[in-house]
Amino acid sequence: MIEIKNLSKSYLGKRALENVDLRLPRGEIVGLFGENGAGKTTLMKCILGLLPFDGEILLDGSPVSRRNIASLSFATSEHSFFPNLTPLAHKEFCKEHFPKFSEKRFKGLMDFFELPLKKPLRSFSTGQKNQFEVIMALCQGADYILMDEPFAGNDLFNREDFYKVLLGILEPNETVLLSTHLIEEVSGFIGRAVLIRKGKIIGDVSMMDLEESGRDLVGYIKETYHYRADRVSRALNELTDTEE
Amino acid sequence: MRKHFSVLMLIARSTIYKILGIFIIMGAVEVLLFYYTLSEYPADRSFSQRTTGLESLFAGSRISWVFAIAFMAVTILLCLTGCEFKSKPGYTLRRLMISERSIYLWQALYSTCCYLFLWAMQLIITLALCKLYTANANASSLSNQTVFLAYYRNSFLHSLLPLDETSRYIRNAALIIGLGTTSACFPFRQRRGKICAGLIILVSMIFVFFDRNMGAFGNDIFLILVSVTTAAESLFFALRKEACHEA
Repeated sequence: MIEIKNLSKSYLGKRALENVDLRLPRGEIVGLFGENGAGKTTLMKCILGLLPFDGEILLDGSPVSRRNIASLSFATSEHSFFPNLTPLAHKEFCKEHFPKFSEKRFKGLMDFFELPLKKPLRSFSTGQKNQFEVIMALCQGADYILMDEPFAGNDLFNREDFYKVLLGILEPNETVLLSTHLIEEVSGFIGRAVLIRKGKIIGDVSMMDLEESGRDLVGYIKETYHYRADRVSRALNELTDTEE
Repeated sequence: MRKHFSVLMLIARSTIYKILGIFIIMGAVEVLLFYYTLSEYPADRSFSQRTTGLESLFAGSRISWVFAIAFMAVTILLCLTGCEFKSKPGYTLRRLMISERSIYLWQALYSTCCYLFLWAMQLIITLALCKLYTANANASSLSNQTVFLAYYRNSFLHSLLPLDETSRYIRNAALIIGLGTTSACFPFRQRRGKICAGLIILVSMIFVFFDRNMGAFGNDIFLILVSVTTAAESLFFALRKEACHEA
């Protein structure tokens, strides 16, 4: 389980995360939603130990260190691979550094997405780069897979393929924390939704609870964010009036 | 140890062929320039009409310029290895079971070896060119000391192989180690949004002060000090505790 206790993070005096408390048990697919700049990426980077922070983050009861870092993997739209290397070279490198690296999963996913094994990654298209990024995160044998906007730039068919593959290959002990703006697309397969705004967790609900209450995820998010549906029409009316 | 070795291989994989390519191009261009200059000045004429021989041929063929370009190309290549432009490999490097400091030290070792090979390659090429010259020159105009005198009189050749000038050997060793440690620090800093001023200073000083005649002791001491200072600063930056938490 990932336990986040009283996590705060500031950038040059500006609060990016404020007293975040969150628990991510094993075997869950959790959606992390929020506007741009809400703190989703910062939260993930803090979990990975890429940023210093105030508070506590425990990974199966211990702080994140080089001893247990292999339990976490990360897929980001910024891409964390080495652009000059081929997928094959990445596989060899990751086999050395991630003891539970799954060669079978790597081969299967590379075949499924028809990605070339011997071409440097810098020559891949953006979609292919995203696919490879997620493949690497899924193959490192991590128990907790953090994904930050992993499908930015992929077409709809591609994304749908990924959702299906993700659901099909995840083991019961694997946890996914998925940050995305594609709320409707992922609402079908996440088990829980966490909402973040201005660095604070403002909503945390299981999809089962939502279903039982007869609401959908988009409705829940709009409700939590106090989204005013008439905002656009009012603004348009005002603009039209001014012009007249 | 395999983990450490794989990091070294990761660095080598993305540069080794390009560096070998630079060495080959450098060698080919230097041989062509030297051969062209040699053909312009036939051996018998140059010796009868000029007091300087082999060393003026080296100066005339602009080999030191080719070396300077190759040096810059190797430096740029080594500095860009591990930098973050379109992707962020730093995220992966910081999630490995070995520390980013260890990665820095491996990169510093690799870069130092590359500069050592560049120096050795240039030395081999100049010696080979001397051999070419002595093979083509008129026997009456050659002496046992022709090559020795060239390395004594020509400032570039002397800086490459300083004969019995110990301070120049120490200077060259300090420069190679200094360049290795500072160029490895370049991507380390770049991943943290910082500029490696030490490398820029060191490279600038090398361009200005590398090519010096025999006996420039003060110049040698100055370059040693610049090299040691920039290397120490780079090592301190990369090995301090806070570095692992700077994004």
